Amino acid sequence: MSLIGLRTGRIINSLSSSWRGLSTKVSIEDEFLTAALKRVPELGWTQACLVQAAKDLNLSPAAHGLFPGGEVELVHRFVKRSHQETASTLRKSTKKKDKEEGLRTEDVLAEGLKARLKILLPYRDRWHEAVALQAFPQNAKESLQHDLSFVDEIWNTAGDDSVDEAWYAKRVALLTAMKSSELTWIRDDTEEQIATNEFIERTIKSLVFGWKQIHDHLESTKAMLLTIRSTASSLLRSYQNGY
Amino acid sequence: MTLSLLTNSRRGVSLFQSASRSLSRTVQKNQPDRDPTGNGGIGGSMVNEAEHSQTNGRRTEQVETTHFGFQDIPVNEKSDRVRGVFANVAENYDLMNDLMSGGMHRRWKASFVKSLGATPDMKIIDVAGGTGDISFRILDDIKQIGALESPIKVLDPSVPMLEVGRRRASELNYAGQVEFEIDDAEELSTVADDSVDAYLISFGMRNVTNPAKALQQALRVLRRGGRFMMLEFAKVDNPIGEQLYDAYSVNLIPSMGEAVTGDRASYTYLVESIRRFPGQEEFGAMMEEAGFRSVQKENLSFGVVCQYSGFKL
Repeated sequence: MSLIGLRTGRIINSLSSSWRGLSTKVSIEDEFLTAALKRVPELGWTQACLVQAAKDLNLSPAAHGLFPGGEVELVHRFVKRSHQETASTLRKSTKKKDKEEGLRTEDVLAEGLKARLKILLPYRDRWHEAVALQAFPQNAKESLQHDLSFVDEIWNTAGDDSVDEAWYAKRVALLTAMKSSELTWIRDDTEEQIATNEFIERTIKSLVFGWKQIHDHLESTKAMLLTIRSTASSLLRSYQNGY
Repeated sequence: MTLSLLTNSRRGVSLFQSASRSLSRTVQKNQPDRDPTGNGGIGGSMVNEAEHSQTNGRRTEQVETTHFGFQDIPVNEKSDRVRGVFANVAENYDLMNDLMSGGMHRRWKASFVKSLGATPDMKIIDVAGGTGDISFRILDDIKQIGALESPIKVLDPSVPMLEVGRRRASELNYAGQVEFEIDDAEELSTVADDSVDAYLISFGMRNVTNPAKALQQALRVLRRGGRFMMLEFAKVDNPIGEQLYDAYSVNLIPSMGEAVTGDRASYTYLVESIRRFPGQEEFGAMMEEAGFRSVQKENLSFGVVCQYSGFKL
């Protein structure tokens, strides 16, 4: 970008104006989400918040129906957006770090969880309500999908390329770490949530270092299962042959 | 076999009679089989012949027509005939809804009202609202958070339906909170531009002669961010369900109507008009064409009914 700019000022002008053209093409739902989030600290994840957001945008209060799912849709849409933001920040910072000092898995994972909480920070006092909404049986499926795609994104950024059953185990393990750190964070009264950050680091460390043990355990279990199977089939064979 | 017999007769009772009358004529003329309907059977061409002879018999010059049930009638006759239907059924309209839908219409309407999520400061119009059923549900719903600041306007071209609505309003102690006025969805002459937060039309659009015109009017009266919401019969999205639903609606509903109101023809019209009305995709496209944004369609009961929503932005 800066190279082009050095060559001709005209190109950069036209580029930036087309960029501006792109950025004004935000969908009404996105605009509505932004307006609603401004009201969340005061009104919570509620229908009233959506109605107020419509009014803030100079729209009829009936425009709260832009999110037909109501308050849960507000939470889901925010979670999705915050996850996307976290993932792209994380990708940028890891790319930079990778070049400078090399990448450690546990750092990327911990950084991912911390960056997410940083984005949730303005809504910390209201977050327990969002957690409750997400946990309703009818909402749990979509919430889980958002969370799983987020932990998957972090693992991918950390350079995980496993294709075995460990793929699932790793994601579930990180999901558990993410959810427990979130609950710690909600009640964390230390300055700048230091306690939560320490919690994340500890959890991730034990996750990554414990990983090898789990992996070995899985391997030995697999070996044991194989032995049992071959013993059983040889017993069966000899039974069929009349001993 | 039974199912296919039932569906063959879905072209309607009145037409079936004229079709059988014209059958003898067709046989005498000994015409080769024409089957422009593509129905692939003698039944199909029979009915088509009947439609032709009926139209030809009534008028010679070409007139722009619209559908009235399965019949094609001149555009300017439709609103009178629809008014006739509703004048006949007004007294028992809500009872018949219960009987025909097995009480399901209550759930559809409850879902509709819940999606609207009315707030006290909303101006709501209930177009083709007749007996006020939807409006009373909104008033019930909003009681929990307060009361509407301005009364809901129920608009309908049918005087007998409005009469029933007024009576029910005073029975329910909602007299000051609902206004009943004669108005047509295509005109909305009693409603100012950009003045309405929510435009509701529940099982009414089917009876409007020109739905595109009604959509334009809806867009005119809504203010920015205002919401158009419609509840209407649609196309069932499941082949087995569709056969059952066809068989049920064409064969049972007119008989039920006859038993309860003594008026078979009106209910035959109601059933036939359901089949002639555009399905989910088609009507959604019409809404977008009219200028509504963020158009949502939600099927209820496998698409027997669909809830449409769009915004003026």
